[in-house]
Amino acid sequence: MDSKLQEARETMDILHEISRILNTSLDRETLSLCVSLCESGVNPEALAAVIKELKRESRALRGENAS
Amino acid sequence: MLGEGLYVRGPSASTASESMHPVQSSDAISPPTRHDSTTPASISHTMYLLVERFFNQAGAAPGGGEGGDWVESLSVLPRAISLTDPSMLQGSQRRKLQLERAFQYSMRILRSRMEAAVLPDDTALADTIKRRLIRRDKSMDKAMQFSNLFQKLTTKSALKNKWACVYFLLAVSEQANRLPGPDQHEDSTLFSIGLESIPDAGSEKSDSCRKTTAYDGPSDASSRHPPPGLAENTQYLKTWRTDSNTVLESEWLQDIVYVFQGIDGRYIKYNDSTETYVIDEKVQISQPLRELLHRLTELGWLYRRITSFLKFQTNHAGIGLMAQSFCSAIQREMTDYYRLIAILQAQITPSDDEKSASRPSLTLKRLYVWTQDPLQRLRVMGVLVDLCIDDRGGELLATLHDYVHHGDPFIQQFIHHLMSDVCKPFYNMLKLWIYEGQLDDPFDEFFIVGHPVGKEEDFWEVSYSMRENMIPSFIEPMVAKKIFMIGKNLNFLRSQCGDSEYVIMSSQQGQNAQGFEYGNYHTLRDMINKAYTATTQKVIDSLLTKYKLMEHLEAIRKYLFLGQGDLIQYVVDEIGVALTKPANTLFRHNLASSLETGIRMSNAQYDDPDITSRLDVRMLQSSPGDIGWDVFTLVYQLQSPINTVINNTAMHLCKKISNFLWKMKRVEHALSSTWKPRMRLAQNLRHSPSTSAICLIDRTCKVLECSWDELKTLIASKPDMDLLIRGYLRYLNTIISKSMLGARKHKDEPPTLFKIVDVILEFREAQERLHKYGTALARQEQRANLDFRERSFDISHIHADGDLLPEEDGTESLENIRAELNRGAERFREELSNFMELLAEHADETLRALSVRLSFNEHWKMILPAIEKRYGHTAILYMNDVNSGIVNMILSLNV
Repeated sequence: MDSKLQEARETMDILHEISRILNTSLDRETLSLCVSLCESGVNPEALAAVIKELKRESRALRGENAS
Repeated sequence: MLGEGLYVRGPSASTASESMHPVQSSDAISPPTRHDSTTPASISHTMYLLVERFFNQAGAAPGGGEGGDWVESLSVLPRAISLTDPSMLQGSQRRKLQLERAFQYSMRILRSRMEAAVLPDDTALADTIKRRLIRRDKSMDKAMQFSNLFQKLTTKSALKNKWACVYFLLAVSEQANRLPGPDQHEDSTLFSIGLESIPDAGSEKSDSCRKTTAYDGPSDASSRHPPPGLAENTQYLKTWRTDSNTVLESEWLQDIVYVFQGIDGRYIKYNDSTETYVIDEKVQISQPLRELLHRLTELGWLYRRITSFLKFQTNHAGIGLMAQSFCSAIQREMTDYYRLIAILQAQITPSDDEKSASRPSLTLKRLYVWTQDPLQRLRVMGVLVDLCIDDRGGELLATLHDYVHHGDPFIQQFIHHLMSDVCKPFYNMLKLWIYEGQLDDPFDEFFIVGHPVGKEEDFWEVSYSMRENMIPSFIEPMVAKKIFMIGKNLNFLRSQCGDSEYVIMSSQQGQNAQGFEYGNYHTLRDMINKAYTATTQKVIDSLLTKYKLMEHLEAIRKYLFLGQGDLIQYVVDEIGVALTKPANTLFRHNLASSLETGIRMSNAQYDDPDITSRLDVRMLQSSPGDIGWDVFTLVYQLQSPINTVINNTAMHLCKKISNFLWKMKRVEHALSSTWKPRMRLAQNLRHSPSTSAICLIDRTCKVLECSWDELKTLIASKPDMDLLIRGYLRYLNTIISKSMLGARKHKDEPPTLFKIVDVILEFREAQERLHKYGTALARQEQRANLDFRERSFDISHIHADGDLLPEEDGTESLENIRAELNRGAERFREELSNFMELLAEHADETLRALSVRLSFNEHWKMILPAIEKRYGHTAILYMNDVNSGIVNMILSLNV
């Protein structure tokens, strides 16, 4: 069990590193959610589109809050 | 496990996010064996968490924090909510609503794209990312780093869908690179315009969509009804499409295949009045699709055209063999087309077990591409069918042949192929004609037509004729002419010369003849040239040797054109007297017997009896007042096949010449007979007309000899029959024109020379009377001498004593005779000057030269005014005067 967890964590680390290299600006937890979605068979492109939308939403919300 | 708790938490348990920690939540990617993560419920749950996370980040970072401090902002957010500030609480309520909407929107996005647009390929993906990194950073560092990480990742077994994860990262990274400034797309954001603005046509149209909108939360959804899965979504998309008025591509395909066969489809129908295919107006289709369908229907349109042509032709009796073979060639092309349709039909309705997706299915576009080749073929056929609908036989071939020179090699080859079939009946006919001289043309398609022949001598001229418009254009006119001649030669040999062995031999040769197929024209032409020379040779040889053509021509010249002098002289001497009697007192058999005697007496007896027996005497239809000379004529009887060469026209000309010559002969005879008694009276009465006539006979003989030479050379050169016949006619015409038979001032008048001859004859008549008068006078004188010996003879005395004239015919008087003589002289002068004029103006140079010869020292110009002046002098003096001029002229001619 522990080894499996360990491996999962390492995998997550690697993915996070890749994400960083690619400038995705996703934090580790968001990334882990996304990865679990990908794992469950969601179209990665669609997911990317969702992320795009959500990023835009959050930026809009932030702007709202700032004002 | 903490991670488990995250999954079951509902949207209301927002405070639980406090406990969320990056490290803990990474457990969410625990192996799927433990969690049923593939179910839609888990997807929507995870999605919800994701959305919530973004919202929390945004709400907690009023200063617009960077993505880097999201971790801290996460911990700030719950605290802010827990402050229980009423305004904040209200804000959180509103946020909750927003979050709910965003979640649903995200779910819809996820559902809308069911499969990845690219094929999952780890290596290709890694390569793409590496290339992108190199391009972005202009260095290898990041790329190397990524390569290492990716290598490590592949060794890990925790992820079962590594590609999807990495691809997701790439996609997000691309977005980040292209991400526009926030203000640019402000208005298009989800909440600034509201959910209504999202293009969600499906939600209004279909129930299944409404279901998804009603679905308001992951926990709710899982408890109430199963969330829409992938399969359901596909279903939904399908129903959405069929609900509208559009037609599926497979239906179009079926329609189009029907149209290809000339059958109306469900949506595409043929409109008879406009002769076009129209698409059902109720169906809504895009412009490109409409265009494509219209293009495809062209095939069906052409098919209809061609089949209607074929149907028309087959129902039409007597369309001809060539048209039939044209139809069958088209039909054969159409079978290829039917094969194509069968294949297409099989493609669009695959059997159930073959329905696997591995087979590339047929689309309209693909169909369009596939049918390009047959379309072009059908187009060509359509054009040909339109062109050839009225043509038959050779015309058809000519029309088709024009297209062989088409610039497009495809069309050229196609037509060539077609032609080789269509031409088969033509070549069969041609072969039969060239080798056997037979016409096998039940539908009047060949360019040679046979005609029934009435008389045998007309065989050559009448039996066959050519139809210019039926000559296929690939056969040159000269070659066509030769083909025509070959068959005619063969028929001539068989029917007229009785030489059927040659024809049989020729037909045996034809058994293995080459070149009788389309496209092998040069061989055919050589063949035809060879056959032409051979058959022509055969015909001429047969005429010359077996039928003695030369001998017959010679005989005509000798007997009809008075070449055999001794015979003619004999005949004239023998029957000359008889001929001066009225025509109705003469009998043909008398004349014929004297001719026979003549033949026996003269050199003609050494000629072939076959030839001399053909010579005969003919009496023309006599009119009252005609004497024997007018109706007497010599004829030469000919039999087939010689009468083909010396045909009726030629025979007619021969008669004309012969008549003329006989007339000349008669004048000569008359004049010399007049002269003889004159000699006794020591009155040299041989006068100008006789010389001129003799001169002309001389001349005619010269013409005869020259033309005869020409004819002989022509025959020696072995011409074909047509040339021979024409050559002979030319020979006769030359004789006629050169001997001045045709020279006349007006068309209606008899030829001038004839008139002169007539005048001479009249003159001779008058002279005869003068002579009679003179002799009577002399007798009287003698009697008078007995009574009045001392009275001397004085011509003026005769003038004075008219009553002393002999009383034999009562009306005769010296004055009358004199007037007649003068009138005759006058007319002779007139006609002669006319004649001289004509001669001087004649087109033929040799004849102009003759006029110079006749009037060498301008004697006639001098003498004629002199005659005028002396008008009124005694006839005898006048005659003497004229005579001296003639002697001059004869002398001049002899020089």
